[in-house]
Amino acid sequence: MRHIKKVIIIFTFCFAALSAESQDTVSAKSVEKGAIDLKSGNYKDVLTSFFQLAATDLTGKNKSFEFKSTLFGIKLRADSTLIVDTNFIKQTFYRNLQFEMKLNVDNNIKPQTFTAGIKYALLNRRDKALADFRGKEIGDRIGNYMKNIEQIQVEYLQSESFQNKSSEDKAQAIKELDAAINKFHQDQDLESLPKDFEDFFRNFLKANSYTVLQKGIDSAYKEIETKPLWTVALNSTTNNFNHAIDSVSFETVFLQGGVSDVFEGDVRANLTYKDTDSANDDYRMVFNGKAGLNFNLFKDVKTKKSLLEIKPQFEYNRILKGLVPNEEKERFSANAEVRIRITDKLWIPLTVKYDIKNKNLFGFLNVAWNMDVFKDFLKGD
Amino acid sequence: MLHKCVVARSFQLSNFCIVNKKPGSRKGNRVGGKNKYFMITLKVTVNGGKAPKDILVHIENLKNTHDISYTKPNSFNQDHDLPSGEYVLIVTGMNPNAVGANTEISITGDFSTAPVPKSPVKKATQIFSAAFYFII
Repeated sequence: MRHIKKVIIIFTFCFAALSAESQDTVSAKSVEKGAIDLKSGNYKDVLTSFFQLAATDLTGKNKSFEFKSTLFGIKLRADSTLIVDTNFIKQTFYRNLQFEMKLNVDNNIKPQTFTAGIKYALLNRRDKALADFRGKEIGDRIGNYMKNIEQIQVEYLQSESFQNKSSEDKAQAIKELDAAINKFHQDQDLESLPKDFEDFFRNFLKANSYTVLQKGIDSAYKEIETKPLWTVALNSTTNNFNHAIDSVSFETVFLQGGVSDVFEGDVRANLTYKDTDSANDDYRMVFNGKAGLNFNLFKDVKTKKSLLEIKPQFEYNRILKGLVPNEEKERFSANAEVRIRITDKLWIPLTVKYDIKNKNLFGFLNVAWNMDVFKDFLKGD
Repeated sequence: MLHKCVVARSFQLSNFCIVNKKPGSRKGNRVGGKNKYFMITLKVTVNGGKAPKDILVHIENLKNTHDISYTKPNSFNQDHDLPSGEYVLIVTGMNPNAVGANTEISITGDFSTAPVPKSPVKKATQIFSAAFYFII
């Protein structure tokens, strides 16, 4: 019970620290939330946008609680103006640098080991928040649409029907026009258009289909999602008796999408150095490599959120040094990882591994969800 | 072309011009010399990433030909000295690709009729256009 309290205190401290928002704004919060919601589970595991808190291997003997954040996510808590474009574009380094903390606990939620690490995206071409369509074909189409929608309003302002209105009526007409154009861009609703503006707008739509433009924009963003992402990470873990560092690992991950965002190539390599805890200076070094394809099987049509993903992959494991008796030097397995999105914030990844040589089947259940769930829980919502 | 740029001013990274109506426009030609000028400040703030396209601004003077049009590549804070009169200001742009991304638009100044709709406004649609009516 004491250990459960410790875990709760540690994580409550994390939430409290992150909730200490000196100048936070609704904008910063909503952007943060949106970026988390839209990412595929596979991408989210590699590089988070702001914060991610996860509980993993809940069905196993060794559970863990994990916290990830980019340096930008932390800086944003102290200075909400960083979300403004002129500041945001200068934060590439901080947005590509992620740190992680992981508390491993045993079956009785007793803390065992603590892992800390940093990760940096050497190559990140899939940052849609920095998309720039200037000088591109889709950019020209968007530019024409924007100019035309401005022009149609100017023509309306110069029309007799508008010019003959009283000042009060003009103000009211502009208020209605503004709300109607906003409504149209939200859900293509034309019902709320002011009557004397309706003809102007319908003529505009004949030459400027927003639906067609929207498809072009969606397609341009999907192309960005297929761009390469390459990260390197360094992690260290303490042991459970004197809390000294006894394990260091280096990992690199490369993601590259296909012709659409339906699948992406996923290659990972990990080299781990671990103290054997024996009296001599022996250590153990393990190499692990994985290569597979992550498929987005279902996406929500409206929100574009990934709902179901499957990642078939091959995994190679080799003990480079420190082989223990009766242990295999290398293992080759075929894996399948299925991720199901239960709610906006809750993913359930299920991993199945098949040991090709020994014909053994293993299964692991992980649950990962972002911090808002915990915040709501702590508030008693 | 309806608008013709006649004056280019020194705004870096932007195009800025006063536009005249085409010949035969219903409007008069020039504001009288006795007109008082008032300063209004337009502030546009893009939140959540980079604006994928330039932001368009058009200030329509409803009583004469001295309209203003310009573009800006990102967030800005722009002062305008305008003769007294009745105006509609239109800001058109595109928000960055993040669900919570938005653009906040505010107009401040010495108005005899304050901007309608009330400033500031926050536009969160992918492409947006905001219009304000005011008298100075």
